[in-house]
Amino acid sequence: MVLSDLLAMRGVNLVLRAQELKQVPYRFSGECRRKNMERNEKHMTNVEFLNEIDAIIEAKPGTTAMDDQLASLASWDSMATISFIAMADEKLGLALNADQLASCKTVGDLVKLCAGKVD
Amino acid sequence: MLNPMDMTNRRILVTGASSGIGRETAVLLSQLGARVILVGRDRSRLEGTLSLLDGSSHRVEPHDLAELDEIPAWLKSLSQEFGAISGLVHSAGLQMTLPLHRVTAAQVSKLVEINLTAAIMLAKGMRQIEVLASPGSLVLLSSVVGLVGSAGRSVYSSTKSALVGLTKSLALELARDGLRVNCVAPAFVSTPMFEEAKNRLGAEQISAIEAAHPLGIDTARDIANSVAFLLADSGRWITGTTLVVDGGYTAQ
Repeated sequence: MVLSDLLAMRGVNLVLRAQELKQVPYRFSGECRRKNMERNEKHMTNVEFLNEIDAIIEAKPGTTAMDDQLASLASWDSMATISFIAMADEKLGLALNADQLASCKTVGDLVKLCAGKVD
Repeated sequence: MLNPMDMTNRRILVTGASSGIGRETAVLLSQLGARVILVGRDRSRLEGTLSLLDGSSHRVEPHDLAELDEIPAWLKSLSQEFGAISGLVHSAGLQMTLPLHRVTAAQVSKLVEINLTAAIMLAKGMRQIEVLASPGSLVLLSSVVGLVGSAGRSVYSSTKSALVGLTKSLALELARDGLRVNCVAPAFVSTPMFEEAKNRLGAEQISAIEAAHPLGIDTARDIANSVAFLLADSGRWITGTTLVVDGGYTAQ
């Protein structure tokens, strides 16, 4: 499903507040600082990253490779893009945007987008 | 000059008053003469809203609505301190956009707690005889996606849809207490949250969102106007309704 299809299904009202998905609202600024420190320390291995991509497109672990073209992945659509941005926020502490993702051609390009967080 | 939305000296509490629709509603209510209690998690952001208000008898009240069972007692203590409350706007809420296969039960619970359960507990607190300055008015913030579907927003839309049903049942139950209960369902308006979404969504999605609003994307003031209409005597014979304020989004 391409983006225009999604929007035509009234899926236009998309607001991503992934940072709000996870935890109870922070009560103290000290807790906010601690959470921010945790975000800065977040990273994952290449294998963990590929497993996350597999989970996003609902493929078996080990399916996706770094040089795979995103356009060739059957389930890489606008919903997968939303899932990827949410995953990067939650597990890598990165605030990515859709325009950045649109410029990625391969899975490896996604890793480059997460520079310093995946190795 | 006659002003059907005059709220001189009425005490009105606004949750989510730190930004967006909650902030804009608080500003408008102060301009209509109300004494506003600003509720949110962050004192400094609430003080930012306070600096925009007309008049001087407003209050900043940092509070975490996630402490759900404490809400009625907290409202009672507020009314003892500041006087009985004639209006309450629940603008605080969480959003989530995620495909169903990535949704967890914990995320669902979190959204239900803030968007729905907090609304119920605020109504429970508001109807207390020590709290309510009858006749009173409670306004909940639903959403157009509580009325029509939106792919990727099943959890958010279900909580917002629940508010429409809650509004009707509470309207019936609380009429005898002199408390009207209504709901406003906005589409996208220009708020800091929307500006942030622009960065996340990309140009293509943003232009599609704008195209889905025949009157264009407007401002939070357009929502605040409707909230004030329902709070004031202009809405005195209206209860149990959901007022759609969406620039034509759901007309299609």
